[in-house]
Amino acid sequence: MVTLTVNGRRVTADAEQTILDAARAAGIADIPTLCWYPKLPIVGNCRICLVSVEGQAKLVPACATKVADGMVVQTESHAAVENRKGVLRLLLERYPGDHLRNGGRAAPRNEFERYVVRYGVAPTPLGARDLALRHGDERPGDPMIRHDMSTCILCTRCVRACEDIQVVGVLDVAQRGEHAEIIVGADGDPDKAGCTWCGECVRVCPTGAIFEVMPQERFAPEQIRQPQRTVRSVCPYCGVGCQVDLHVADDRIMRVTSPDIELDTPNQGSTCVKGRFGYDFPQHHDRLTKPLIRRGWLKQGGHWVWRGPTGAERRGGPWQSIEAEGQTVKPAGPPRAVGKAVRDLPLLERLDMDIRDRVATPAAWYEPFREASWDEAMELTAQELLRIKRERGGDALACFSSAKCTNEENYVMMRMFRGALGTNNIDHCTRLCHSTSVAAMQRALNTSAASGSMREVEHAADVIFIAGANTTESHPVFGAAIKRAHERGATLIVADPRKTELAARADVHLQMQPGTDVALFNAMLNHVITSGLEAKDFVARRTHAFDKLRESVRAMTPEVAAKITGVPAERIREAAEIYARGPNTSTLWAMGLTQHANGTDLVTSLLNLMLACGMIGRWGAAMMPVRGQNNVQGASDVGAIPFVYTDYRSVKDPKVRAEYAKAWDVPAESLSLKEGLMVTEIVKEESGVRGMYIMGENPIISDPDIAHAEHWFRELEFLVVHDLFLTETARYADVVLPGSSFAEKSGTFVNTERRIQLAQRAVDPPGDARRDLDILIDLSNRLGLRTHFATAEAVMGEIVTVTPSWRGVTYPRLEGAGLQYPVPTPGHAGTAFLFDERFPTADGKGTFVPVEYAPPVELPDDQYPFVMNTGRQLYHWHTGTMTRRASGLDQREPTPVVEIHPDDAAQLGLEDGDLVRLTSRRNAMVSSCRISERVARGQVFVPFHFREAAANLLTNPVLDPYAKMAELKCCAVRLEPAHVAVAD
Amino acid sequence: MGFPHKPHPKETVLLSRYFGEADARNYKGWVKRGGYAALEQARAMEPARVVDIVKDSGLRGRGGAGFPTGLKWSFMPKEKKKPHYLCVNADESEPGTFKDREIMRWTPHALLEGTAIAAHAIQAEVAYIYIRGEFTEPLAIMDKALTDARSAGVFGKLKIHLHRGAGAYICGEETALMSSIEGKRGNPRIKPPFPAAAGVFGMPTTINNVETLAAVPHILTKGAVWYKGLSLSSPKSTGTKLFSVCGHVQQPGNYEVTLGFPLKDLVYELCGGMRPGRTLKACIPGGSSVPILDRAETESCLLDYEGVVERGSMLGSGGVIVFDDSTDMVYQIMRLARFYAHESCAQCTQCREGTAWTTKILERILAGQGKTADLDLLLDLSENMTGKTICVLSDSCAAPVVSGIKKFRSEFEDYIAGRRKPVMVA
Repeated sequence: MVTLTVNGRRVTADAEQTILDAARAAGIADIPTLCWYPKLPIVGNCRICLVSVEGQAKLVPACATKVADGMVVQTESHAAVENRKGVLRLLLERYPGDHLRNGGRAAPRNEFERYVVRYGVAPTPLGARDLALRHGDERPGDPMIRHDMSTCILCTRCVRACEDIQVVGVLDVAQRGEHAEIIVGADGDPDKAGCTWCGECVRVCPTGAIFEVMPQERFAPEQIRQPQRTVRSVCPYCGVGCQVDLHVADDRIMRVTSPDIELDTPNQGSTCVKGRFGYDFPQHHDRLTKPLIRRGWLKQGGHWVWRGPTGAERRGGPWQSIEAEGQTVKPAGPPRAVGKAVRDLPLLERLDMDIRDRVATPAAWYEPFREASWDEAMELTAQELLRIKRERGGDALACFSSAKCTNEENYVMMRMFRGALGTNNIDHCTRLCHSTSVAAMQRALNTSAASGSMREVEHAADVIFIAGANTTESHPVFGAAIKRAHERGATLIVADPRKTELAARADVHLQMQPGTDVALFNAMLNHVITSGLEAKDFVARRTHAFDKLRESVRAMTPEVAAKITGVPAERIREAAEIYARGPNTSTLWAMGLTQHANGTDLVTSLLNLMLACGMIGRWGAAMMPVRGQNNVQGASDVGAIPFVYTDYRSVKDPKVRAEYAKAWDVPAESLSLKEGLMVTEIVKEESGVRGMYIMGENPIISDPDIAHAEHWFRELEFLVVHDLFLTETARYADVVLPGSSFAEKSGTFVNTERRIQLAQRAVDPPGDARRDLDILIDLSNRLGLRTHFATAEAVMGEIVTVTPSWRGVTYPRLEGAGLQYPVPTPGHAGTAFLFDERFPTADGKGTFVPVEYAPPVELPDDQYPFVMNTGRQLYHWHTGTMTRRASGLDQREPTPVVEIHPDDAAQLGLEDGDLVRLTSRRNAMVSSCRISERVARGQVFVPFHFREAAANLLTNPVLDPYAKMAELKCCAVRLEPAHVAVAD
Repeated sequence: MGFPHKPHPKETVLLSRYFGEADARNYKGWVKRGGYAALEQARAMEPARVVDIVKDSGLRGRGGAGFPTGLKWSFMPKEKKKPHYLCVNADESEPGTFKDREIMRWTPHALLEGTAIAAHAIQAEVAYIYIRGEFTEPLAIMDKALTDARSAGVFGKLKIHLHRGAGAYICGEETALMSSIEGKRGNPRIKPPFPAAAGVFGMPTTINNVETLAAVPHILTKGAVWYKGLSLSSPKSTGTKLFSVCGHVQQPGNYEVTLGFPLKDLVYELCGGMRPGRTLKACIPGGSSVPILDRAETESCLLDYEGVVERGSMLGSGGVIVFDDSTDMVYQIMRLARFYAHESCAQCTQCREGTAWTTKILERILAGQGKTADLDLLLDLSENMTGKTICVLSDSCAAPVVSGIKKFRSEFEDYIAGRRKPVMVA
């Protein structure tokens, strides 16, 4: 620590701090800055922060000068203040600032103008200036980010944010002297430059030269500057759990900003394109505003009866089935045109109407329904659910809860199904997500969540091993953190059949054949053990059954694995050594590993490698299944899965049951001791399920082999869908309940690092749509379960009483960064990383579970020569329900595509954008192709967001024996060109 | 003036002794002239000893700042923990300066030898010679010399790379040069950290000018005391220096004189004086970045680091630009400002906007559209541009403007008042 004097005040500071840091920390806030921005590299180029230091002939930059003992600083010396005015005057000379001359000075529009006003600098009138306004690359026609470079002051914050925070490097400074300007890539085309539309540049720009276009098109400038209110919420997309601020005007979400970069939030001020620009779906004209009841349901004598058609027509409607739609030849998407062809075309006419409304709900879909009152809809729902329970037993009912809903809603949902309907048939999309991870982690360590935190991966990991996770597209904010870690010097190993962005920048890319991961990880283990690199002490102290493991991998030498995986043996050895040497290796995985019919084994073999090398339980050695949905962790934590109540406590245990029966004030015997069915088991003839409640899920797009699923849903006795839109699944419902989006409710979400975060309501649901929690409370009461929660906070009050690891959670404590559970006591600070001493098993030790390599269920052959892989795109989300109704996102990826390797495309005679027919053993569909070297030869990648070319028509419904996960990542397909004249 | 030419008797030829002798460019020819003996001598010494000798010689940087060379070398870490680098600044771009070019054209091995000695002294394993992009002929000569000397095994483990610049003046600024070597935009960096702590690729680096290094072999062979004796005035300015003289003199060219030599003699004797019928009006003594001297100052100025400062300017790079009484000073100053506006790297506000604005005002004055307030505006701008920026390019633009207005104010006023025919500047 050093002591210095700033403006006559003694200030102590760390020797590594700058004058600016020290002054601001001491509350001396009057040093202006323009180019300086927290966490960005210091360039000191705006020169506005110069201050006087005794003994120095020249002024020194406060942002770039370290403090020293005895230093005497004057921030308001005459020279310093004159310099500030000089800088502002020079910048103003090229700034369109006529409004700053007189009346406008009272209302500065941005950070820069506030300084202009503070220092009373007047610009030369526009007509009398010697210098022209600045220019730079614009982004004409861009759906999300535009530039007005006349207001650019070349502080280069955007360049550094792009380069050093997002590690993308789209923006740069071109030219010299007065001609210097911000450019977008080499030719002004953000697409070619690799822009991901994250909007980090928008966030850091101090003048609005780089701005969001959507608020400007919809709201007045003064509304944007002065929102009605700003509310902290949690992004509704992936499991990173970025905190966002929702700005509200006219009771609509106007724009989304990210909290201060210096706040300890999971996103540290960043968001990705979905988080920042994907916020307008709640306001889409497709939103359901009234409950819908299928025509045919009539109320007679106080009782609802079905008087509509029966048989195949029972759930019919004027639409194509998913199967038929997939096979229809469709128009290929327009070329991506940002910065190019659309330059002079009005945006709305060209893009907004054409593409956005093509995916919106067709008017005909509403025809089989009539609008109803809430009372009618709830009465009918309660009547039918109770009827099926009475006639067939509770297990004839099932529920898909939602990883998009809050912990409180999921809790009330599972409480209702268990307490009122007496069944454990409640599951959600974790089944198609990390269920295999949970099964594997339970088997080895008796745990169900990540052991560590994202920030330890960013700051402390020496090696980052990523298996089957396209983090930069699926979890972009975490992806950027990984890239920053790589830039700081961490070694990156990526195991992925595709050359994803991280794979391309990895130190070692293990590009294996899909589904051969067990061979790869076992071979790495084999090499670790033969080289004596295993963590002997850790293995001895903290694990069981290492000998069995050693035996099981003995035969899987890197040479053998090379033949299976296609990865050279040398590279397997290299990766194994880097992994084992650490010293701190973090292990990340996602759907590439889990979405296989042997997903549990795949994850298990990775856990074996991790445990053998002792890479868990230290800061920097994190075990991170990267969670997909913003609350998939929380929905599982609060018991929306068939085997457990909250905190993963078994439904089979009568003692546990008694505790919940007491909490819910129901007889213990009304709660089932039988484990329920899982998502993939429910959608089967033999499940015996006849009535369903689906909240916020769209299984007719997301389940495997959906042609079959679609048929199954049509056969149900009663189906109620609770959603924002009339989804593909809701088309078949008896009752559709209009729910609320993330912005319309308060509640908590749990992110991938076990962080419970608070989201606040920003706006009201549209029309008669209700808050999800209110719908569930109402229905619970109608089903006979006394439920009297006034608020989400009250629900949390009950959750913590039955959830030991959440016992210290209260809403006030969640303000700010939230809490990482376990939070076992009221004063507990939360847990950043777990297992430093023991695992939560009976004896505290982990167990190796040897697994043998087995080939994927479906291998390519002469008839089906390609391996199809499915997954997410950067701009879309799952079944597209939200993102395809977010105007900016949808304009980036308006149509379905299939990624195909250039060599394969050439062989098939396909050019970029051509239509191609994909046929698997189950079904066929038509999509346009995108030629890309990201996929290997012999493989194709199909995003599953598009109903008009649904990837899951083709996928294989074979299930993992433990977690009942389907083989979503690997099936054999045939490709044929489908050049057919396109009809309207 | 081409070579060979006979040196003027008042010159002290040390660096320029072999200028014009084609044979001296060859490795063998250079060895015949005693080349690389100094390197062997240095190699036999501890690095610290070499540093001490150069310190004792009083040699100061010839690139412009005049920082004592031995002292600069001594800043490098004594205990080597990271790779050390040597950068040779051969990006000679200062208007009016063309001495390094001749050193590289005629005595490439002198530079290579000095480079190798310096690398030994600072324990560098890699040296980059950053050559101005337009210097195609010197580059070819340097390239051949380097290949020959390398194949003769002169450099041992030292790796020397020639790095060609791409036409940016700013890359002659030491930290910008390092950014450029790293493959980045040639922007100067904030100091501290100084190069000796974190230079090229973030490693300890020393950067020296071509002429400085070319002098080093002489110091080793003939001794620090001898070199120190080469001084006509201040003991703080020792050795010889090449002066590149251009402008309105009869015989422009490079002249090597002992420091402390009178500027008057350089102009009137060595260069043959002004053109017939013309008289000296002004002189820029140290390359375009330094303040302008008027006639009286020029004629009383001694060419050493202190002497030129006493007259209100700087020795700089030794590029002497001489103006006679036919010169339009306003136009000349505009041309200088325009050069700096063109070459500003555009990082710092004062430089990016200030140089451009200054130029525009001067152009306007020349075009007859000047206002009385413009001169104050120019001085105000120059004040704003001096001592505020990361490097001194902005100061360099301000210096001739301030000194020009001070010393030749009436010429500006003539334009503003319409007493002079407007000059249209393209």
